[in-house]
Amino acid sequence: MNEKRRIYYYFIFGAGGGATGWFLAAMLLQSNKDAGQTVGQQALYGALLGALVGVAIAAYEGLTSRSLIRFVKFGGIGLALGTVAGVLALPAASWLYGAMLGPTRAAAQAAGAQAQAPAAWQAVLIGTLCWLLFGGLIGFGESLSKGTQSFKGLLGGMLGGLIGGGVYEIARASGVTQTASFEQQRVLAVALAVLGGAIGSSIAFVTTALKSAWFEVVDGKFAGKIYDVTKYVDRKLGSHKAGIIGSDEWSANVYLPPDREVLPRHAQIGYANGSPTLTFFPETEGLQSSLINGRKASIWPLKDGDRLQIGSTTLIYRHKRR
Amino acid sequence: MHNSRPAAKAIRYALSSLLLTAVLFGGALLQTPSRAQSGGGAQAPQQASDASDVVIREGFTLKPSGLALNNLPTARFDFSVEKKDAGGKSVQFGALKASDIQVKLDDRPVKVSDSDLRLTSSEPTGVLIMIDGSGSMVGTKTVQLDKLSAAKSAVNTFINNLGQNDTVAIGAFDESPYWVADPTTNKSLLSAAVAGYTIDPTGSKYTRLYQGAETAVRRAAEKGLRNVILISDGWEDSPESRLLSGSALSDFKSREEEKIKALSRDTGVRVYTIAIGDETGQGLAKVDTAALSNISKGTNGGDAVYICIPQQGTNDCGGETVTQDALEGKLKQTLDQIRQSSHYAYSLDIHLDGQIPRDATHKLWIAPAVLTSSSPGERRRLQLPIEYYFRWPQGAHSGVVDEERRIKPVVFIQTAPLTVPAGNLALLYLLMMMLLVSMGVIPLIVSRILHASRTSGAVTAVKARSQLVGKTCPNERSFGREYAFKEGDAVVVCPKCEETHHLACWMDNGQKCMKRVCEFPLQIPQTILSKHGVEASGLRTA
Repeated sequence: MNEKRRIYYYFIFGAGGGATGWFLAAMLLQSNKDAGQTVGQQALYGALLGALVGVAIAAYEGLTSRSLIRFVKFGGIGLALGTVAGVLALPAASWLYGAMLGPTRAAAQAAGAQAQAPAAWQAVLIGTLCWLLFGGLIGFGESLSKGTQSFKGLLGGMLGGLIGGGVYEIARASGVTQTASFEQQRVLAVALAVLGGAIGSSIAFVTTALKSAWFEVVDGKFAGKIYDVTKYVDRKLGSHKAGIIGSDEWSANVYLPPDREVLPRHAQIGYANGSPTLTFFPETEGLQSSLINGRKASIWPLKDGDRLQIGSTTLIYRHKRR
Repeated sequence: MHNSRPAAKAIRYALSSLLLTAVLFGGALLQTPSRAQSGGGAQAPQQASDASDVVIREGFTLKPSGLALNNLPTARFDFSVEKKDAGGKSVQFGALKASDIQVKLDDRPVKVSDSDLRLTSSEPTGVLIMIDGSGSMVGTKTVQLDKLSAAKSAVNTFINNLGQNDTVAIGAFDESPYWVADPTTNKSLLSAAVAGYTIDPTGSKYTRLYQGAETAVRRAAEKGLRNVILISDGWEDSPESRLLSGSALSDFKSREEEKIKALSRDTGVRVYTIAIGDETGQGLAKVDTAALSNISKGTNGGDAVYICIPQQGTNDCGGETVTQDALEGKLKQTLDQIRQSSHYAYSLDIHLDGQIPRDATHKLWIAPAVLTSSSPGERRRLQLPIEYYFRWPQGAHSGVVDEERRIKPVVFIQTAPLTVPAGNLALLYLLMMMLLVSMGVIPLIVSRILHASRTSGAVTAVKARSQLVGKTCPNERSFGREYAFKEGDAVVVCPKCEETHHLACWMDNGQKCMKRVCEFPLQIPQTILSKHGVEASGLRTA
């Protein structure tokens, strides 16, 4: 249920980012009669859209964990990578259109040949490919510093770019996105909102569908929240980098609400001795409510259903069998 | 203590993100197409461009007729934009406005106003062909080719290739200039005049080249013709020039050439020159390519076209011999190139900065643009740039074009200008955001309401005559009936499987059903717990 909710809210946040990107671009750029004609303006348009979609999707994590620092951290990553995505993707699309729409050739070679205009499907294809890049980069940014592998974020973003970008390009190819009338602006706004929403929800969908290990918060302030820890219990990745469980807003990968019984770096989850392993840091020794399945332990080989108590938060470890 | 570290990190992180974003946005804002295409400032051309390499894009071609620099600091760019129609035939594109043309001198924008652009396509092309009528044109002892016959044949082809409204006049010069055909559009009359034109090889003692050129320019201007084609196989041979030699002769020639250039500046007439002969030859075999080039360059006609015919007994012209047919072919080809060049649709006056440093190489970037439209969703703007590298020598009236460089046309995807009022856009945005916020908030509210109704329905106090009395909670079933439900007990009925629990047991079990196959979670609000005297831990309050 919570996973479905996450996918849904990623769509809402992404759509909000796309709509805001459209609005700012429309207000800042299109009041200029020469708007959109230079590579720079294309890049600026892409940057605005990418930054806002990126920051909106990333902001979800900050809001659900009720942490300004986490909002800034993930929002910053989303903003920066979203901007890069937009700066690259839109001028690339524009350049590719330009390259395709009029092949350059010497007159001697052309010998009277007519320059061929591309078919509409070619333009849609080029645009969609560039939206793949756009969505992929945003998805990559969304997976950074989280428990899912980056390729899953990339894949999710690309899927969103394919779906949302395809919708946008089809709308554009059909000519309904001309910016001259209110009706057409409305279509453009909706198309970009759908693009942002599709990227957001696809990232959530792919990372959720492909996760194999996670903590479910069953009791405490964040009850219902799910922390993907697939990356940390992976045989290869998990033995190199463990995930931090604690109340450190900046560095905790599984962030718990701070209380007297929760340390900023309380425990870590990784892959050791042939299995996913939970290790409590030595500083937790004197704390009463650091229990695994109701018992005190410093190192614990995790298995599906293990119940972890840290402070006022209770988490259950889930692991899909493959 | 540990809280200050992430806060500082967050601030640093936010600042660096903002900085990165600002750099990316700034870079995007600063980048302009002209920078992307034309690179840095003026620099010496590194490779010669092929003037015949006409670049076509989307069926559009920029056809420059040349850059006129004999009236600096005002330059004139004569050009056409052609578009191939569905049948592959080139047609003139006549819808350019001054605002469609960008000009930059050494990467600095030059303003172009409406009055600077003149549409000339409605004006018929006018050409005055001035043929050298000296005796050497029909052949000499040392050069036996009949240059006049070749010229007449080429001129005839030239006339036949002209448009219906193009006007041609024909003149000739030896000791003095004279007119073979008055300006007319009648091709038959012109052909007849050309056919009937002959030269008496012994009829003239002199060849007044400069006077012929100057009179031709004056006559062309009087008759409204824009171009002069001067064909000569000789050099200035007049009583005045015969008395001079060395620097005195050079000064005399310079003065005469300057007079022609000044006249061209005043009248706008362009002179193309064709030199037939051997520039290193002697006597009647010699042609003065330098003088002819000076005339054509100074009047915006470019370099003289040199058709080399070697003096007999020499190894000039690379040792090649030229047949009558080859000469005729070359002349036809040359005249056809000039014909094409003399057809242009636009003249653009470019007012350059009066302080152009002399003797330095300058880059003039001119980019007419046409709007093409393939879909109603957006407009595509095709820019057809060209670059000229030129110098303005110290003391000279005219500049010198060193190189003409074609640049690959660029297509810009252009969104149509915004015509929707900003208020409407803001309203649309507001509505969209309200819709999205509603989509986000309503499920939460509905979920809470559902939860509340489930909770209020699920938690109840056992009444005296309830069927629950005497039944047991799954938590205490192993104790027999010792902990069976009794009147007043607060119980939770699982909304899913309807199993009844003590409220305290429900809380103790992590607020979910105790049946293994169910485990339905239901959060009980604090208000309900307080009402029944149960703590969140599951303990009963005293």
